[in-house]
Amino acid sequence: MPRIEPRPTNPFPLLHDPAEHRFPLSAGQERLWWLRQLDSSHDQYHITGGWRFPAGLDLPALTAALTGLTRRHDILRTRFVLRSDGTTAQEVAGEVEVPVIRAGREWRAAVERAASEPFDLSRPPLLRVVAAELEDGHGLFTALHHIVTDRWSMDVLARDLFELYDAALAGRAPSLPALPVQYGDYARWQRRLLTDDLLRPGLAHWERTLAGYERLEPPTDRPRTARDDATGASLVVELPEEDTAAMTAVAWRARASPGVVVTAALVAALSAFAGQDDVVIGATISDRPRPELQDLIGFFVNTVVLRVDVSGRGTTFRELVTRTRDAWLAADAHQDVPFERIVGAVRAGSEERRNPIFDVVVNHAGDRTALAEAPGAPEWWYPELPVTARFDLSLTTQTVGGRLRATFVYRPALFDETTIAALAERYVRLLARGTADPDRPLRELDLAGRPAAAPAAADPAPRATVVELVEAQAARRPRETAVTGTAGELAGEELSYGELNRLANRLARHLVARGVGRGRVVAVCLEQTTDRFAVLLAIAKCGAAYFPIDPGFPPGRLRFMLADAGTALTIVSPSLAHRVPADAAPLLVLGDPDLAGYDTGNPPPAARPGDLAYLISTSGSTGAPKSVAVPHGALSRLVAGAPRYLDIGPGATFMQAGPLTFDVSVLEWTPLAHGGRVVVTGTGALLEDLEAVVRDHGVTTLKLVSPQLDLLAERDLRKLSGLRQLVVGGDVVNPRSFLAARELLPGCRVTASYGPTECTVLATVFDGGFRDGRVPIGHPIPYTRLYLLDRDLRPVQDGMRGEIYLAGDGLARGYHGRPGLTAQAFLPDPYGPPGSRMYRTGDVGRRLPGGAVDFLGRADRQVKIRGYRIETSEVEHALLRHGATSAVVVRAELDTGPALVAYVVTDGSGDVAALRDRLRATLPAYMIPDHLVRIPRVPLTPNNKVDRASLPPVVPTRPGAAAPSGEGSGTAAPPGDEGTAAPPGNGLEANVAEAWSRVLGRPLAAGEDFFDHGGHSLLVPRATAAVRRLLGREVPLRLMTRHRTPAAYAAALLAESLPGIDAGLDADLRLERRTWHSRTLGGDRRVDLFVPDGAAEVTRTLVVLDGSDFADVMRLPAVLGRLAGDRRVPETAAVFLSPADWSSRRRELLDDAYPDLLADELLPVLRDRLGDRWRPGRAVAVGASLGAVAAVRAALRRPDAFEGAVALSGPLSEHRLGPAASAPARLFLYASREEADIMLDDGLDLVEAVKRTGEELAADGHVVRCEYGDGGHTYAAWESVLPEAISWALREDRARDVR
Amino acid sequence: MIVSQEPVVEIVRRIVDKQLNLSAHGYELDADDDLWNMGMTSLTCMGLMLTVEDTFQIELPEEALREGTFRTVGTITAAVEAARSAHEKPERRV
Repeated sequence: MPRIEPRPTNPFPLLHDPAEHRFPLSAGQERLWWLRQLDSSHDQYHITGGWRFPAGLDLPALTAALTGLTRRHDILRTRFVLRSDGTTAQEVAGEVEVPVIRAGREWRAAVERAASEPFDLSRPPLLRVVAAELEDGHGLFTALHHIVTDRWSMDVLARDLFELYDAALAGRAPSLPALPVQYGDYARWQRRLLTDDLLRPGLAHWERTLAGYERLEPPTDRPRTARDDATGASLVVELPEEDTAAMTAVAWRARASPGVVVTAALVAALSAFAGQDDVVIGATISDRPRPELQDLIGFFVNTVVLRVDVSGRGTTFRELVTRTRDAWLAADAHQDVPFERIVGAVRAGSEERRNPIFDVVVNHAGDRTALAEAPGAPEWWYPELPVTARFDLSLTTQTVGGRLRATFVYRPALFDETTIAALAERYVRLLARGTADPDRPLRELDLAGRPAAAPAAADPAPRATVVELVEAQAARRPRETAVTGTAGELAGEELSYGELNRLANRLARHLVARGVGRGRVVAVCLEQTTDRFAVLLAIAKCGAAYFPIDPGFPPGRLRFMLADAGTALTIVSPSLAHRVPADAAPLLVLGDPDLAGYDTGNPPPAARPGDLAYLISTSGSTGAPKSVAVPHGALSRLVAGAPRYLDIGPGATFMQAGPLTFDVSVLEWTPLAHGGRVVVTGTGALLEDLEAVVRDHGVTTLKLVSPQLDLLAERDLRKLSGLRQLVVGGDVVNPRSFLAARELLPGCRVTASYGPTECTVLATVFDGGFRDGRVPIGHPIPYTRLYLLDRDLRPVQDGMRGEIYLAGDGLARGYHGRPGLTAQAFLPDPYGPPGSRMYRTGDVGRRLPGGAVDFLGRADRQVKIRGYRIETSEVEHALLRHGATSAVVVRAELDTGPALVAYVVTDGSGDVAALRDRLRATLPAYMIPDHLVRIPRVPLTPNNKVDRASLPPVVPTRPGAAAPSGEGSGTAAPPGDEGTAAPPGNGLEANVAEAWSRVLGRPLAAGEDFFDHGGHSLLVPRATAAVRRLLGREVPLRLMTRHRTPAAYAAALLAESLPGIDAGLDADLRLERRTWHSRTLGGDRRVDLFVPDGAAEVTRTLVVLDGSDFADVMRLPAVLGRLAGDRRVPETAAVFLSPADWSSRRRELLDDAYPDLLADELLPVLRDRLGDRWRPGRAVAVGASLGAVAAVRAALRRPDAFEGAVALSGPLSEHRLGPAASAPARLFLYASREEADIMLDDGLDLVEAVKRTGEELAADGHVVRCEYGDGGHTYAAWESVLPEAISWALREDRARDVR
Repeated sequence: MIVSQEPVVEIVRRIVDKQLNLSAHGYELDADDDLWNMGMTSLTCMGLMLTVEDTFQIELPEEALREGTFRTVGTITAAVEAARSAHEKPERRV
């Protein structure tokens, strides 16, 4: 028996305080409040309820009842507010009125509006009431925001409302239980428990429970998009009464509850649906832990996470029920930990568009039915309303009339109804079977009722070998052209069927003479010329197998391959003879032996279906090359079925553009076997002349692989206009290119094809229409079976993710000389005829409605980053949809941790940053690559597969900076990447980092993701409030969910506040950024120079401290440009100095050597830049906050270099400024009135400090102007005073301003 | 746990109290208070059932496996006593 861990007791008294009207939000309310802030346009968190009034509805009594209800329940008079420090509060108002919308018979629109219109949480009541006239009496409909109610509360509400109503009607006092406490009392009581100390054990529990969890990723019917579509649909299934009774009995016997059993069945169904053993779902628990809370209306719901391990072959339903129960009990005991804290603790981040940790939620109603089922309880009225789906999928179960009713609510944006129906069906079946037979292993329970695998093909493929077929064509059409050459010496040469056959016969006889026969392997290294067909046919006629080798391979590798294949002979084109290692195998150079003496008649048939026809070397991206051995029978299967989907018969001209070593070349047998013509072309990797070849030689049927089509689509597909069929192979076919071909080539059939070498070139083809931006791989070709199987090799249901297995007559014999590898990949086919095999492709797919198969990715190319399982092909698909020509997405281990890296090829104008923006518009954030690297071409292996090993590594340019996430603080910068070197951190970035660090209670670097470092959504208001205070203006809360690092956030703030900066304000263009090294202080720092255009002399200069703040945030360059343009100041140059890093800023600014550094080191930089335009003159120092102290010091201590200073909000009285007697300076001192709140160490507030310092400096003979404004210690306040401050400081006519 | 001479009803009361966190606030649980109205959920009921079986080292008989058994301290006590007497009869000490 498991140890039962009881829920910790809240040690504080739960008391009512009648004097208190302001309370904290409960943890759950805070979450709802936050969700409301995230989405202001619509709201999924409304709770509705309706009741019938068969005897009519008395409006005065109703009004009285509603008044009574709001008086009784404080929560109905409560407003929710955000306070300036970023905390939230609920405040109870004295009285609120609940208007009754009298909708009469036309109530539908009113009800819908009441249910869907967003609530302003700061304006109670969060309750709407609609009175309707129904066909049989009256109805009362209410809609409340979830933050003030829950499902259980609706029963309380109904009871109270009806009693108040009845009492009002009868003119008596209502009889309702007293409410010893109110919701606010509960919220405060709950919050007292939620201190860090008390939460620590609970958080530790959740961290333990969720360690290494895998997010449940059921395959969706449509890709997840950035758009958050909460439109829902629902589907209801019921368990028959006897099954429901059995289920309840099993629950009790297993010492569980029906809620646990229904959860267990859901877990099992989801495990099968997603193909995952680690099932993590959410659950909501109604939580009224004290008797005093039972009669309250309010939000008493906790969200918990259930993680159930479904693994184990023999796991029975009973065992699963026990595991689920233990998960439930543990979750129940730790439900006090707010969900956000769990999210923060397991660093599940905060996806703006996706629920943290889970997307599927289970909810079993029926704990407390007493109120709703009490005699005389009001009769519910359920007007039909649009369904909203708060989660991707949720299951609510309830026992109604002895039958379990399971309601699945899902998002049609993600799932088709058929998919959910299949899931629901499996769920009910599991539940019924599991309770009937709880001790049978789950896998057996689930097996029955699955779809049968596709029935084995009734008729086997014809067995005629290509030799027999080509010989038959040669006899039938001896003079018709079989092969046309386009390359090399034999360009333009044609071979008729007769010639081809005769040439092959002669060579075959020669080969036989050299010992070539059945069971032997002949390597071929041939030019792309017509005679290659004679060679291949000759080898086949001998009964031997041909083995193409790539002359480009290094000799060592070739030697290995030849030895490995046990080749008897190598036949080589004369021009390639020197490439083949002479010692590896006997060499036959074409044209060398004189074959004229050999007979041209067909030799006796040698090849039998079981003999090998060819070997193709597949060099996987890893490991040694291996050769796939394909027998004649398999080749016959390809050839025999081809006319059903390929246009290759008489009159057709086929061409493919790959080398012989690539198995697509095997397709060239199909026209030869059926009387068509083959054009052999030696076009290079870029297919330079392909269009010309197609046109000149009348190609009708062109086979390309997907990257080749992309290449042609980049040029102009219309140049292929003569085609009758275009076949595009590959697992991920670029849908844009595919559609472009269909559009630009009218009359041409555009077919997608898929097939591993192990299944003899092709396994499936697709001709149909498609949607959702993905080209399916389609249907199996003749004599081929495709299975989608789960880990136990059982068929998955339609729509479910499964691994693709291929079977039928097209299977290769295996890997030549590799029995171990062969046994791993070729398994006994449990669904085929006895003795048959199936090939495990390692690809993952699912069956779409209509039967076509959709390729979902490689089983081994699914990557897991930050808890998300990401199908890289899905990201690749998205990149292709958004304008990339080619894309490869990989998971990379960078110094900064695992990262998703996308390598993209774009056409010349393609802008990678724009591509990222478009991705962001459609993909959820966790699928956005951390790095987008532009490459000129996707490196391919010799077999036209992506060569992942050759992709360039990603090198973060900012060592020490964490991986950028989300936004374009992007640092990865191989050449061509979007990231130019990341800008040095500016003050805003540093300030944001500091503010967020305070909120997190731990230091956060500028490049670190808030949500990956313990941040969660409920900290966002506080973190944002800190930034608001810094900036002095509104910042939307949701900015943080998109821009999750201080660097990205600061950049976004700048982009937002400076919409013109990217467009290039004149003033900003004149900023020259440099990295500057100070001899005095050491370290490299950012310096920006602002130099007015034109040849005019520059008479005035500014030295600006905390330069990046003034340049980037306060827009001083623009201010200067404008002032000069208006002739309010003379032409002025400026140098903006930023601290080396923000942590040393204070020390630097207050360094006694600082004024000298400015005068002797920094000013010369500007002087050098100005050259001849420099006119001797003194500068004005500008600074804010501590920078103001440094600016005044510079003016007082180095009057030779500085004529004055602009000092904004400086704590001036705290520091010794300068010698009492110094040359008169011109000083603009500013403070904001709100800064009277800032107390300095000397006891003065900041405003007094500025005032007193101004008086003292004026007494010392300086020209001082003190100004006081509004806005606090903020950039905004300083920015607004800058024009006046600068123009006064620079004004040349000084006499007038002397005070 | 050693089952002492303490009356069953007192032990049950203590278990219920712990499961439902009642007495921490000075709530005096009556033997016929409806636990379902005092914050008990099906989950706490489950925990209660497991703890009761653990504590008394009994297995509740099939007929006791229903909601009604766990409605009050009194009903639980009755079920425990029934189960114990069935269980212990053969070797009952005086």
